Amino acid sequence: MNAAVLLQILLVPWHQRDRAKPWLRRVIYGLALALVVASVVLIEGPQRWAPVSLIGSIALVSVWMILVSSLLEQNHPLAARFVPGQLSRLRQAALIAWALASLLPVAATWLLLEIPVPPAVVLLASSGVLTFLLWSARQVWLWITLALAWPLLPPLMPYLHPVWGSLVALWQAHELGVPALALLAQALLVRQAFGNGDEAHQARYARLVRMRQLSRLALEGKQTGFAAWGGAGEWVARPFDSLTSAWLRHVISRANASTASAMARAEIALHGQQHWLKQLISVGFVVGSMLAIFSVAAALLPAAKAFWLQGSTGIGIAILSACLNPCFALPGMLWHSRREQALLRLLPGMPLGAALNRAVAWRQLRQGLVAWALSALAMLPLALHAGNALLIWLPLAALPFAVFVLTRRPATMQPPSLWTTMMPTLGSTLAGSVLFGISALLQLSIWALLPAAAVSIALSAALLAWRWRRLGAAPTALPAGRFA
Amino acid sequence: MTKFPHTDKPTAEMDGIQLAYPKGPAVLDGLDWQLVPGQVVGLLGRNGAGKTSLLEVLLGLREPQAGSVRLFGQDVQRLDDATRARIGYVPQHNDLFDGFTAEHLLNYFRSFYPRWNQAKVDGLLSRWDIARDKPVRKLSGGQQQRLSIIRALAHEPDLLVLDEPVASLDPLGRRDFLRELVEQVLDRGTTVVFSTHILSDLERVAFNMAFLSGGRIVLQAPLDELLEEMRLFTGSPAELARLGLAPLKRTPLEAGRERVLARLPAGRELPAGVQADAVNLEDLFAELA
Repeated sequence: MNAAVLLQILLVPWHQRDRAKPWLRRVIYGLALALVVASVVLIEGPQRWAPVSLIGSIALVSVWMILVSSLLEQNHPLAARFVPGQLSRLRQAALIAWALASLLPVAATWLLLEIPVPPAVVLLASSGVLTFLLWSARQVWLWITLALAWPLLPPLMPYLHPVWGSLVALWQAHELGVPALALLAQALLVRQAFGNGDEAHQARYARLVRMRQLSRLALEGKQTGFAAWGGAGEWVARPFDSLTSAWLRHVISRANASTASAMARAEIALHGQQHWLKQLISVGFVVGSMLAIFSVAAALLPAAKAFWLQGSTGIGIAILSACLNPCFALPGMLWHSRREQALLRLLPGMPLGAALNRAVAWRQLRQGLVAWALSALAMLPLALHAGNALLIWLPLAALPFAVFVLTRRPATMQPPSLWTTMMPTLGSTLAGSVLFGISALLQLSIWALLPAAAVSIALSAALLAWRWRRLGAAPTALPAGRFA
Repeated sequence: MTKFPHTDKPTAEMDGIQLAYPKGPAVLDGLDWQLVPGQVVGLLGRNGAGKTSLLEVLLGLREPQAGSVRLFGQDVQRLDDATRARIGYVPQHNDLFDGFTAEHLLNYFRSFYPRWNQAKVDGLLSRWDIARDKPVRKLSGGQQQRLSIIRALAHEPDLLVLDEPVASLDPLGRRDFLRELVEQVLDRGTTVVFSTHILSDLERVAFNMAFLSGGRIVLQAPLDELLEEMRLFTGSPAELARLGLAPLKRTPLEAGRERVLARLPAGRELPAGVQADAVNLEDLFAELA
């Protein structure tokens, strides 16, 4: 294979990049570059290379993920079967890219960091991470396993020590053989990640395409539910669907001419997978499962008890995200259900004009405030148990954001994007962290949180009063986004 | 706009509608339109002519920058419940309510309407072979469209608006749907507006044709009248002027001649050198849309 063909395959993601809004990417690149320059200029000694290596690692992983995603997409079953040589070219391109990307950290460590780590260890670590990333892009359950297993790793470390010791002993006995064998096995894994167009490959590729579509929709604020994943997803979704069907039957059986009744039915179509009942079931299932796993681990493994203290920040952020992120995505869901809204607008009993605007906002706000209250209540005992004030600052900062986001004017909303979906979460987490940082610097006592809570509630109430009046004069809420 | 007078009180009235999207040209430009009870209108226009926008404005789903829309005598933005119960709508995109089963979807809509013809729903579900307990997302495109049509017909509307309703249907499905539509009109005197690109369907059903071009309805008339009276005249401008035609479209040809689409003047003899060709619906579409 000549270099031109190799470059053609590897540069596909570059040629297919989104040219519509380059400014966000440029800002990120600029910030990364500024950080690198600032750390090199301002920090003295070998520590200056720490931010550089961190940014470099993030950049390497990002580029690798983009490349892997593109290579797997190019590995279309029909092309693999019918285009002569396409599969072998993809495999060769992947192997060359994998080898180069694995060697980069070795070179960087040797040139910059002056850390006495053997190059073979760095090489194996980097190649191992890259191989895992390639396979996890192909088999998403690897990510799920890692996400579930990761928090359990520190408490399990004492039990893993003997295995680790055996591996180290084996390495020391065969200093060349072990790394060479491990690299060979990884190279084989990289090669095997690409399908040859058989039935299994076709099914996997179809799953990959579906997952990408769902991920794209999720980034734009549309949750599609387990059933949309097909296969096992439908099986997982069945009990959830039964419950939501029961709720649908319930609201239909109690239907009357009141606005509340019409909106309770409309809400099912308006919020789709973000409907409060589905969210309650999903959050309950996920948080409940995690708590059950950690409780069992804590009961069986004495070392795991420290997890509640060490991992309180992670658990708190997970609870807040699980409760609030779907609510932050409610306006985005309105965009995605705008076709249904055309039919809803024409239904007898649906409110009109300002009444509809407020009814839509109220449904969102109610869901958001309940989710906020539940997450705050769940985080409070954790915060007190772990002595972690951040877990109180985070929900306090999130409240005004929730009010602001959930009282937007749907008719004028722009199509949701990754930015609009992530902004409330990022903004509220950043605000909470900054407030926590300030309180820690000023060494404020726990009682300082009481006036802070009062300020947060007062600010949210004032914001709500202003936005509520604004909603009255706004164009009819549905269909959403028609003035975009 | 050419109007053919009707004496009945209009079902829908649109006056001076002006609609433009942000940073875009005008989609509807001073459009006037009227629909009378029992009228079946096929709305024709090229891709991007604004058919969907027109139907959305007609139903109050999109606010024009200027002009007024009245349905059954009421301002379309303030329709009361009784009036909304008289409207049926099949949107262009049928990927709707995909978390529901067909039965859930129909029960859902039934809960809103004071009138619901369950016998008709059952009959159509069985005739069009739509499984009641199958999630909507698992129905084929054609089945989803049929379900959408059943939903729109079930409450027996007096105004039925269908945006490309047969796009996903096979010929048999289209024939079945058109038969149902004709029955609806004959039984209840429903006013029907539907847009489509399949001209043969319009020839089979639409008694009136409305051509949308340049943001206006440039011609509306019964189909048989159009086919009988409209001609494509070819000749020199001077000869054509002597005929006193009211041209709907002029197209310059070679050697100073031109082609004019116009109504055949009653009792006029064609001068030598002027040719008058009969037109079919496709010719009219090509000339007017």
